[in-house]
Amino acid sequence: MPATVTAVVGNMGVGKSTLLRICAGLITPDDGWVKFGERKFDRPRLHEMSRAGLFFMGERSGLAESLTVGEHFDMIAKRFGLSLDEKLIESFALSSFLDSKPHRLSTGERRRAELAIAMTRRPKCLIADEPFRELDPMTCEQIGSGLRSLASDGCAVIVSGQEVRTVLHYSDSVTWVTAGTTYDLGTPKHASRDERFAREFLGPRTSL
Amino acid sequence: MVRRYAFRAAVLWFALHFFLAIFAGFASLRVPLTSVLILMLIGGTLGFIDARRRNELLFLQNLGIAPSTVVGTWAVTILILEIAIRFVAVAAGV
Repeated sequence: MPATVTAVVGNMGVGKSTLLRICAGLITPDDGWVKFGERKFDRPRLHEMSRAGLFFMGERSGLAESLTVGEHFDMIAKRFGLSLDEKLIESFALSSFLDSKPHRLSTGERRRAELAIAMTRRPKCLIADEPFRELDPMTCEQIGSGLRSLASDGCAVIVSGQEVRTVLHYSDSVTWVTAGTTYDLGTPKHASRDERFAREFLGPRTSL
Repeated sequence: MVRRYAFRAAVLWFALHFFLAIFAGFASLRVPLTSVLILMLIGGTLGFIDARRRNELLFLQNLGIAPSTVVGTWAVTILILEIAIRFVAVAAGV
């Protein structure tokens, strides 16, 4: 859905990442298709969908080790005929890392760089698989705000993660993935009131 | 990005021909056609493995470039260089 952040949550191993990778065209589904915009992809491929406005942030770093952070920005801007937003780079505190290669960055810095690159692309849809994983609270805040900012610009943001409170805090709607089935639970508030979701996923001690 | 792959392919090709020249001399300038095809295939595969090792494939796809472009660029670069070296060999009368 455009202009919304959708959280994809579920227990470990139920196939959240697989689902997102199928949606992004990184895994070919056994059956079915992916509809992105007006186009239906029987054999979805990320490079085709990214031309139509999709950006995928994987669980692992999506930065090329041979390029500096600045080169990533330049390539995205040049490829899609966009201008570099200096304020965006500053807001993610990346100015001092522009000449650095990804292996010199910490997990948080890499994640910030990836999201800033995604925002430079101005995608119609961003799929972010576990963007809050292993991050400190401040970086989570920056990433969450970035995702919200993308959504407010009309981007459909899909986020997965095990950090339920953080993920749901920045989300407008919740999709619960169980083995073989997905449930649209509505807003995070509605989701927290869903008995089965609370019992089978959140557990007795997690309150939202 | 694609230029980088062409450059890497060219570096590997020069290195390979340098070693061939050490052992085979001027004969290395005229590699048989089947060997060129095998070289293109191996080069393309190595290029893909190298791009994967450098974690470039996801970014490439986010740029809207198919991963097969890596293989193609390596193979075409090798082919162009082989054609060029054949012209050099003919011009030099080898």
